[in-house]
Amino acid sequence: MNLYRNLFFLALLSTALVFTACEENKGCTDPNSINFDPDAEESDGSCRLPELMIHFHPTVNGQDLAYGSTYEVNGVNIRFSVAQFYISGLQLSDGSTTDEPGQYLLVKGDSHMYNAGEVSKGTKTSLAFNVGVDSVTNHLDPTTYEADHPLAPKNPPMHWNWDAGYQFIKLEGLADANGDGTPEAPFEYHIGKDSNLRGVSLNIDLNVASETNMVNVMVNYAKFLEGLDLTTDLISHTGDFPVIAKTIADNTSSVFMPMP
Amino acid sequence: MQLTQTYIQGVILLILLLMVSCQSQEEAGLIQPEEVMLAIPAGYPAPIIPEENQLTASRVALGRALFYDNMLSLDSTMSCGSCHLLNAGMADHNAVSIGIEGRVGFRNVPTLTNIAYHPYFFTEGGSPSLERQVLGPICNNDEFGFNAAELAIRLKDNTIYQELAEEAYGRPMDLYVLTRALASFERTMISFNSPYDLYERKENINALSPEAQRGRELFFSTKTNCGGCHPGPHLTNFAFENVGLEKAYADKGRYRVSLKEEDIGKFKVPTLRNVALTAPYMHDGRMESLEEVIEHYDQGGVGHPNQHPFIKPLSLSDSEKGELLAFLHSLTDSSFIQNSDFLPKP
Repeated sequence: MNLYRNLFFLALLSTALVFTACEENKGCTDPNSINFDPDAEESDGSCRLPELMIHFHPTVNGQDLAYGSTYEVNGVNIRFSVAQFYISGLQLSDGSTTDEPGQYLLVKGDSHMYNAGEVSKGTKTSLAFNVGVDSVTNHLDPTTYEADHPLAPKNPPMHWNWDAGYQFIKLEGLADANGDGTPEAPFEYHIGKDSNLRGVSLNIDLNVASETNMVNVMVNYAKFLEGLDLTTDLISHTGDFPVIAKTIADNTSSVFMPMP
Repeated sequence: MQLTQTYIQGVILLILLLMVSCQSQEEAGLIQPEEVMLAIPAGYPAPIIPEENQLTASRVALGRALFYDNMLSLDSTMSCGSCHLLNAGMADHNAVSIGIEGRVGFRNVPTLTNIAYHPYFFTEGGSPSLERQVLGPICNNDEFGFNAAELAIRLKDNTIYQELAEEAYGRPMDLYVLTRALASFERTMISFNSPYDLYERKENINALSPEAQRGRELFFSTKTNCGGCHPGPHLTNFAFENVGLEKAYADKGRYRVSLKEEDIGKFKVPTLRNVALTAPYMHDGRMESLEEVIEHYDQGGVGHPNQHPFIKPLSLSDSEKGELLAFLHSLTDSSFIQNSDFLPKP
């Protein structure tokens, strides 16, 4: 058994040696990281990139959105019960280089803060994204994601099974179709399909220097509905009323406004 | 040091043992999951089975249990088996599907006969795989009326399914396992032993009566062109076609997926296997009998702009209609509907 004992000690010794030898020059070697160590010669995997937070402010024509409250949109009183959409293809640019953090966000009308993932340091001048899910990911299987992933099956659902793909934008609630002032007629807009993916580009002024960096974006849900008669055009699941779906998708660019 | 020494000895012994035991298990084939062979007679194509969901006995068994489990519906009153009845050729006899609380759907329940061969699912073809199809009826408001995320929570709490999922897929019970297992069970629903098959394979040239043989000739002739869209061996070409049921379709069919005008009123061509068992007929179950269906094709449709050119007046005699009917009845596979492997496990 002496052989084993000797082997054991040899192994211990060499492990200790390896640790000691590397300790001096290791650290974060990525100058884009918030813990960049200029003296480090070898990366130890500790680098932390700055993270981009997006604060979406849900509103309806200047008022804060609250589910169940009544707002006048297109001259008709309406209430929202669901107001949410997907964001994909995020791009943060300083004018010459662009970060693509690759996150998918499910932005909800009753939730404000979203972690958009890791970006590089610098003064950023534009934030761009798609409302919806890119055409490849749009047709992948939602059951392959962990339950807490934005693209996993959700309640309320954000995915169609009979026409495999995501609902990019989901707006539900009641509208005052009979003109008595009180919303009573259900509206239901489930907007999806590859042809309805729309891009948004916002001019921002954000200095990314620390661990978390926040962009404020106002979301005006009323703008999604511009051009619709909210006493008659109340339903679109995209495939059944594709014109309404396209109207809502085309309105996307006017929904978002950068805020200081 | 005595302790360390003994410890090292023990570890080495354990590793050796593990290596030896793994080797012998592998050699004996014990750790290979039991593969399931589909009952496909020689000369017929094999279905394409996804790499990630190869058929094993434990996967099929789990799918079978789930297929007949009411917990998949919101109020736990319905299972897949509620609308896919073996004695109705794995379809049912309602015009359109009836869901929880008696909710009325808008489509006729399709047969699951040889469903493993289908390239897409639902009558407008919007679902690309059997696995992806599974959540359709579960989440449809007029079928199981449930939500997938909620069902995932219900499944997670079921200790029996947890064990079966680990055994079948090596992971906890979740929506991935649910969809894969149900697809696996459905892929075993193979039917190639109808009198028509026995006749085609020349196993029994008397399997078709003289009348059914004449019906077969007529079916595959350019006079009727039935076989143009319903070719063997699947008795469908899996295309989307408009058969001239209406001048203005309320259910626009394939258009709902493609949004193309030329797809209005087109529906997936159904297989005719076991068709005599699956009445009523058409996408919305509007025709009660095969006689009525034959009558429709003899008339030649109402003349929709997208109507297939094969759909035109045929001027069939009464005896020709009878022969076609006899042929359609020869597509019933009695060994399929008597196969208790497709019923709940006793």
